[in-house]
Amino acid sequence: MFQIDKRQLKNFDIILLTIVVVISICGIIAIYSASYDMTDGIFDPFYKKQIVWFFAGLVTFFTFSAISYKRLIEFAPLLYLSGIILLLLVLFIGHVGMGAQRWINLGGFKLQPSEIFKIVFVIILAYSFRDLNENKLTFIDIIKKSLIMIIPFLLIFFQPDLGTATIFLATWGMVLLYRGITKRTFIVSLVSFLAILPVLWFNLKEYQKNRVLTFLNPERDPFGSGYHVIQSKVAIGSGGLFGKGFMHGTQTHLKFLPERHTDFIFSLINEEFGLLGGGIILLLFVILIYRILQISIETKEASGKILCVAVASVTFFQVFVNSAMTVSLMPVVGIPMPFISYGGSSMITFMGMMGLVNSVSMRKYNSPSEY
Amino acid sequence: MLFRKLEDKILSIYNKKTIIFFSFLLSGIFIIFCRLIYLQIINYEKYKKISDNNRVRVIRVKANRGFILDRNDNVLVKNKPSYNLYLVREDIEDKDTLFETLEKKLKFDRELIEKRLKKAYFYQEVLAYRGLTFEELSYFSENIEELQGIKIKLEPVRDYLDSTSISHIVGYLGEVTENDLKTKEGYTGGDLIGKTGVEYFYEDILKGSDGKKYVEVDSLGQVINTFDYKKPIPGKTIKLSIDYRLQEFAEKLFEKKQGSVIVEDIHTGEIITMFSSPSYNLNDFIPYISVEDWKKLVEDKKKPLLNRAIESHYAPGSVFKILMAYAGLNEKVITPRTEFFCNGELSYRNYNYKCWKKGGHGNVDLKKAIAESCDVYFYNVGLLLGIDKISEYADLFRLGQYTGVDLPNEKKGVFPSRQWKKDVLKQIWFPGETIIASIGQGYVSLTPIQMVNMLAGTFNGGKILKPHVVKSIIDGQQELNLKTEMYADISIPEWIKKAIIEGMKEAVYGTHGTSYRARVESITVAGKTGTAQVVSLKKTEKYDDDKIPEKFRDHSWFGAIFPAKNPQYALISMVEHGGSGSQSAAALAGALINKMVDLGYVSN
Repeated sequence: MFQIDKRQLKNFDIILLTIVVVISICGIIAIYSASYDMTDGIFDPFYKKQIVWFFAGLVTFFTFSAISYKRLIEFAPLLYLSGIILLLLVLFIGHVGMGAQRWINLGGFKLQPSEIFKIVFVIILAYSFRDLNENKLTFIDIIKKSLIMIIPFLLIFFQPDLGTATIFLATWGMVLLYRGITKRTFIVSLVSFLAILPVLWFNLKEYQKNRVLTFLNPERDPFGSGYHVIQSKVAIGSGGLFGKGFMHGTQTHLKFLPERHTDFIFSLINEEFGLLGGGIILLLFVILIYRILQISIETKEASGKILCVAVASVTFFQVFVNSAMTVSLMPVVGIPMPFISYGGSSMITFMGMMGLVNSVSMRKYNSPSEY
Repeated sequence: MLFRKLEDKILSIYNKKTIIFFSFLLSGIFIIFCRLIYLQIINYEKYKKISDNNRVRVIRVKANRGFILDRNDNVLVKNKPSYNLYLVREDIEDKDTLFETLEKKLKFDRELIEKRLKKAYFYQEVLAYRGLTFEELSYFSENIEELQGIKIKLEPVRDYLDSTSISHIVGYLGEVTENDLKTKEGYTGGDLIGKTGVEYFYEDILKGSDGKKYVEVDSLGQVINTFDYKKPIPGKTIKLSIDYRLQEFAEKLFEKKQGSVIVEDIHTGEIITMFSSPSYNLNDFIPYISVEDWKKLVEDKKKPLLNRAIESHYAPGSVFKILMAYAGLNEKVITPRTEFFCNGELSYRNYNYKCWKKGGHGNVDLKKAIAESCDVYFYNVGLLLGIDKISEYADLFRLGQYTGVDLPNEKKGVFPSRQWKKDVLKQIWFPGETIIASIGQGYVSLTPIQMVNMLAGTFNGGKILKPHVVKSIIDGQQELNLKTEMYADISIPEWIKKAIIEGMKEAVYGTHGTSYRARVESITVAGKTGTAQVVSLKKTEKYDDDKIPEKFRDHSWFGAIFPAKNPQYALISMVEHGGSGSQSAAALAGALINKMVDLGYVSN
């Protein structure tokens, strides 16, 4: 399984790894700042744990780089099955938090299977849509190819982990567009999606509905969930061009921001490092996505291409949804910012996906039968 | 085939799509960037202002510290309200005038308060003064408009039932140090923290956790709206195993004497009484201890802050013979009937080791040896055992080690061994030193708590317990009893216990017994005296307590086990410079045991 020859090592994408490392370090710095609670004088050990996750992530990255992605695609059905079992496990023995069942406790570490499943998901996408050709997909084709996606999607949706479910849906849509669909299909899908929306709405939990309503009108609940949206905006806006300085964010440190080391870490970065800091983070992600797509172009093998496109989509949507939420362009949903938000599952998942991309890069000049 | 190379034509289609795809993603990120510019550049002023004048503040609500009860639910320590003065940096208009006004009215360390203000987070309330009098309170309340930036809060401080007899056990509170702030969580400058005693040892349990109020304030900093309130969680109540009545009684017994007394329940390891004399006044520390008072306490030659029961160690003298007797019997170097002849001294390698009784005791068996405290008998036992065995037994009873009592600053004392002497004094062990150690002199130096725990361990059948002053922790309706920890169970046979206790009984009730002063009418007490030499007298000098100054008098020890028939409690009393053990320590113990009989602890 671990065949690596010199030619593959030559194509090891050191730039990709460097960007990932730089982003992760930015994250650790931000989490360090978020760890300090001025009102209590307490320093939570989040940043230390994040450093551990970072190294665990690097190990994951190298592991996935060493394994040929083709092997993984070969074993896609098996991976799919084990992923589903993991998701089912959450429903039965998972931990309840924020009205949702998302975690499995693994000796102190809370594993979030919906995160880990992202790796399986991109592999499944590559497996299903790897028949790249000139023909555009019809409605029937899409349904045939997407049938297996429905079970995991529903499992995640009903945890409920609305945010992650949305990410899956958006990524799937992106891959479809990439693969090519007929105009008629596009219109039909769009209409049917809009038709499903009300159904989805009534399946939302109360707090999720509140978030959407509050997003539409933050003043609706200025001291409740709308309060945090306003505070996040104040935090970001008051950061200005250069920010208030490391550890000097007033909004974030006074605990006005909830989840400031996870979901709202981008607000903290913008408050303490200003537009400059926020801009650098966005730029780093643009470079990262560019790099992934460049690998997608360079490889001549279909499943590798789709894999890269899918990974780029997941990364983009998470960055977009997370930052859009902090600048109040979108409702508050629990989506972490890749590599930056605190969390082991997310770190390992994204490192794993980058490892997949690197695996494609390393093997981009291999013949199809070579692994 | 699973994988194939794409034709160039198809490749170019998809590569073009990738570029379109990338531009789509790029525009998404660009939208976010534009939004950031909108918030951080265009609307900067607006948000900066909101952030600066943040009308939303976080106010700490102090948690009530847990109460401390005695074993009979007497409330020894509770809280009373205190008016405290706080400052809020951001609300202060003219710092110098404010401080001048405050200094006219109050005595406080301006430098310290300014430092605290500087370090405070935004809009934090910084403690400036604790315990305003009603006069001061009314002055500040009336002039609050001119004194912008001050805030008066009602907060709990300690209130003691008795401020002297329980001082060493309860301990005092003081303000957190810089170091505490760095190493401990949940404190800010000016907070009170346990410094000694149970207050220190059980800080985490007593403290509780402070609450928080998220409030909206007006331009004067006055709260106009509370929109989130995290209630403080009060500290848990601690119930001591100490009996306050005995504590009070012990204080009277000591009067002007220096020393300590401990009573331990030998089956549970609970400390029923622990008093150290002289004591200090806990009320001196409320609301602040003044510099002069503190200096007086620290510089007092009698060291009132010292808890002599656990922090001072002395040569245990003859009380140690109890352990020697056990070791000798258990190692079978002697039997209760073994006799040694005492002619007043033992000659060993050209040295003479004297017995305290000049003419000697004649033929001595174990019972007589304990009752009359014959030194020569135990010199012989010591020589038969050898220092290695003796240290081994001392080790079993944790002599020279922490007993682990739940109070801070416990001292280890010293129990010597060959290795110890090699490590510390860089010398080899001399056999003569074994002889001296056999009667608890020489290098041996032990704390009263070690001694009482040794007695407890011997007479409860060999269970070496961790002594404790806290009986239970009360959390709301729940009472959680502290489990007694056991270091070891060396199981001491009944016949050995009996043999030793016979000697100790004889010591109290026999015609030649050394401990007659500890006699109690209604129950049988078994006891052993001890004397720790303070200065060694020349052999020719005659020792007469009454003729030498008090500070050169020997320390007097007394160890007791009662009731003798069915041992329940172990007692150690120790009077510094009290002369020989048969005098003050034994009499004091007798009175305390009598009191315990009166209170119904023991009966025959």
